[in-house]
Amino acid sequence: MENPAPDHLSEMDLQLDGEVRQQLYTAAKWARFISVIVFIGCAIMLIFGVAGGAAIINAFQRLGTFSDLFGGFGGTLFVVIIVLVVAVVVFVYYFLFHFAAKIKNALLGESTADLNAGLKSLRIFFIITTVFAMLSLLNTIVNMFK
Amino acid sequence: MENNPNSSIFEFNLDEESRSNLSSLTQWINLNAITGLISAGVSVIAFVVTLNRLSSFGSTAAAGPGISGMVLGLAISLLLNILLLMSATNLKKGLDNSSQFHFTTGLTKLATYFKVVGILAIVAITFFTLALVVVMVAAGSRGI
Repeated sequence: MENPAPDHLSEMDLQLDGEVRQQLYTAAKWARFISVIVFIGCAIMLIFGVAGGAAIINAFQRLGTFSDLFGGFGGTLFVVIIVLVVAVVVFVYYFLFHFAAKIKNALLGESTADLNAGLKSLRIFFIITTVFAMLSLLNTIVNMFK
Repeated sequence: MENNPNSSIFEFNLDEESRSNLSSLTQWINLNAITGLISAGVSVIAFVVTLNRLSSFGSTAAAGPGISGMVLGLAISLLLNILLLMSATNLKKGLDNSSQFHFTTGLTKLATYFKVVGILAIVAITFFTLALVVVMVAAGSRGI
């Protein structure tokens, strides 16, 4: 049996045609939305975590569960953990935001340099999220056998 | 002049650096999807193990909502990771064979992935806001 006819563009290089541009634009638009939502969520978490941290600690202490949960960590460490988590999440989603901004610029300004910068940012985003996903998977497996 | 993302077709194309970035991106998307799918499978096993442990203590009250949540989470995880896997597979085919069809399909799947994540974020925000309103109304009616 003969092989199917080759793609009519296979002899040319890949083109950023209208369809590809539209999909890149859609991806960038939603990536920007997701990253902005995450940034807002992080800001809310930071406000509630830092400003309301003392109240939360007091409430847990009154319930008697805080010391069970956190041992002798203390309130400062609780706030530090929240700040660290927020910093890591913002750091990760900055790359998604950067991808969205650069791809939009690339499409509007016909700039291959911006396209490459956007793709690099998306790659870094996926590298970090993959590493976190692997650590989470490892944690689930370890906990399963405890 | 209005800027249109679909305007020029041939002025702005993939160079060697773009191909290299896309190739590396594809590998990481693929690894991310595979890790996600394995995580989904392991989570199901971990859930069943936890349910068995709980049932040995005679505590199965949370099993119903737990199973519903598990099934929903599994369905979302499968949908997202399959989209990522399809995106990576098509992008790789597109880059390896210079196939415009596969390249476009790969980018379409990636865009759909971001769209689904965005819609899920909207749904989560809606539920969170509704829950917050219900809690505030309940607290208000009790005079807390």
